[in-house]
Amino acid sequence: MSESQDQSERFSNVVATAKEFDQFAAAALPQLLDRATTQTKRFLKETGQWEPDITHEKLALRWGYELVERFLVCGRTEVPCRPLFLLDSLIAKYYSQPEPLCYHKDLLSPLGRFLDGLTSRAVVSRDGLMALFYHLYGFGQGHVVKTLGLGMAESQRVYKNFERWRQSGWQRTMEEMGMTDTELNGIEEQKRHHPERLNAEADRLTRLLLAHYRKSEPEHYPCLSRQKWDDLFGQDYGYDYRVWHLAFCHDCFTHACDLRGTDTQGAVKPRIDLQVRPLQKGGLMAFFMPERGGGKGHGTGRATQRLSHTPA
Amino acid sequence: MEPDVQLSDYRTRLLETLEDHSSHRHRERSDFLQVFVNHARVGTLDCRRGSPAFTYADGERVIETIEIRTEAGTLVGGLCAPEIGMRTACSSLSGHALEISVHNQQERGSARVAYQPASARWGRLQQAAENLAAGLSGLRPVGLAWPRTLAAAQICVTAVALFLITDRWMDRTAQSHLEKSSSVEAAIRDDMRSLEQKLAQFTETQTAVAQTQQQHIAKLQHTLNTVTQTQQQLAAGVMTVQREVNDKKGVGREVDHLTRLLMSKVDAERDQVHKELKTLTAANEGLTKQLSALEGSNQELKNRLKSAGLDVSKVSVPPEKDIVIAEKATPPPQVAEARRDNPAQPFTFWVSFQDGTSEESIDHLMQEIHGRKGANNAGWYDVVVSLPQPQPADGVLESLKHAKIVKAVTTHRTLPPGQ
Repeated sequence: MSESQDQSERFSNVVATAKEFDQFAAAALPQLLDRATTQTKRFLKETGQWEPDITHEKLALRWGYELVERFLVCGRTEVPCRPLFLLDSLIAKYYSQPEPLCYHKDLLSPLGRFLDGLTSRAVVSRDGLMALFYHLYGFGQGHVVKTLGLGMAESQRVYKNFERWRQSGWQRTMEEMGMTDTELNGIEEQKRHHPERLNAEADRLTRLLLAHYRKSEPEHYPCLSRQKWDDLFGQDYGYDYRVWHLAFCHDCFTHACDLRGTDTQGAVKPRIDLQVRPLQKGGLMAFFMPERGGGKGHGTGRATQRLSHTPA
Repeated sequence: MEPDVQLSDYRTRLLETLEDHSSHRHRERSDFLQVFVNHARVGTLDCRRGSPAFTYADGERVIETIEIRTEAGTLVGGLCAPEIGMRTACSSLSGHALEISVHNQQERGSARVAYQPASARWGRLQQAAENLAAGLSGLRPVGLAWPRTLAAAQICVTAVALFLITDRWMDRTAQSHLEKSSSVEAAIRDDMRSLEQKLAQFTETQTAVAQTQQQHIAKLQHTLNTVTQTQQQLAAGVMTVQREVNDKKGVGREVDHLTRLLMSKVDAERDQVHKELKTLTAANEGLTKQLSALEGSNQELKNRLKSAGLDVSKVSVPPEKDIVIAEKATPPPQVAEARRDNPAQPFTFWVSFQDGTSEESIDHLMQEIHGRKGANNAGWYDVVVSLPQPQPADGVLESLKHAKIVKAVTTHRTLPPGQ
């Protein structure tokens, strides 16, 4: 009893400096996470989006985690403050936004959570953004560079992005989403046995997700007409625009693929071709080998990439 | 795996990640930093080039949060902006400084993020200190022991050099202080004198400025009074105009009301005219039918006339034969009776007179044709005429039609005109 009283007193105390804030946060991380999770649950219940099952519990934990992460960084600049009150206000502010969560029942399936994790990560991580082209469409580094018409410096960044994603980004994303090996293997199993069905389902879910997360783009990133995309590629500008918008807009990406003529299967539209694990280094080498021979490289390269998949 | 265990594992993993982030956040290194305003990515900082800065302005809404993330997505800096006003924060990132400032005004806000790289020597020193700390805490792999030792040596050498320089500087300061104390006293006195003179000048200037200001204030007050009067006049003018506009609006309303009344009357009259037109059309159709009926009856009368002529010729035959023929022919008794009544058969028809025809004129006409006038029904009089001889009714009707006071004659009133 006295211990809990001490704890509540400690939490309601004022922290005066950034150092004190850091000390408090380090000591009270579990309580902060639980508080943020409880608030998220309450939000889900109040908005009629709650079901008492493990997927909803995981969703609440994940959003609670993201809120605590923001609190740890922003709270240091708010001192002196009462940290718990600050956390509550931060959460309330976040959930008062229109549609703060990408909530849909179908997104609570393993496939939905996997795609949600990839897409939400792509919003904050450039590595995740570049990897989205691979996980959704099966586009390797060379494909991405060519489709987006990137220059030398930008290409180097793409390779770095893919490398970091391979090393740690994908793993971290899966951990943060609470994806288990069993669930990932299940998705791969589905892909092996029913690829068409899985890709169709992924296509449906991806449209939901992209529509939600595209809102995170600033207002000066609108969809362009085919003619404007042609101008943009022709006059060689707006690299950032290409990368950020095309990853989140299927229709514009279709225009871009059509203009750049890089679709590997000869079709006009890029199709969803779900890739669960990140592109391995062997895939990269195999992809570039046919190019040295002077061939077009895309079809063969992509096929080789697919063969080179190895579980992380 | 049990759901509770799975959930507990997930929570533990998230806590570990949070701890890891909070302890390693300041050591994150990235060539590019992403700037997020209100959770939307708005730009990047290229940290490889000097001291980059990024400025963002939103003219439509205030800035709520600013987040700085590495390209891998790690959150390394951030700020919750006030609703109105300024806030600045400075955080350390791998020995470099990250300055974030935000300024919110009514429905608009601006933000600035600046990256200040540490100087090369200080950066190396700090990096070495970090490495040393990491090495002492046993967190780093053993393979990095030699660079850590080198860094520690660098720190020691720098510290000793700093100590020596400080000591030398202190000695020199003390010696020069003793030598120059007398000359400094004289200089101070001169300075005091010049300061007093300047103070006197400043006081005079201030007095002059105060007077000028008072004059300006008086002028300003005068101008203000004038403006107030003008404003009052303008307000009165506006009131008058408003009153006039209201009056005009009242007159306009009356005119509208009258117009509406007139229009409604005109509409009602138009409807009435339409109805009368319809009635007339119906009457016309009735007349047409009556005409056709008259023609039919005319034909019938002609036939009767023929048969009557035949009967008359038969009447001229000797009585014996007549009896024989009568016995042989045995015509229907009704017809025989009719033939007997023919000389005094009443003939009924209807007559409509011209407007304004007097009763006397009508009675006079009735006497002429030996008829009896009946009741007036919607302008039509039923007239019964006893035809004294086998006289066709057409003749009577034709003669009536030619009378000046007669407007129309009909034998059938199945459709009474005007009803």
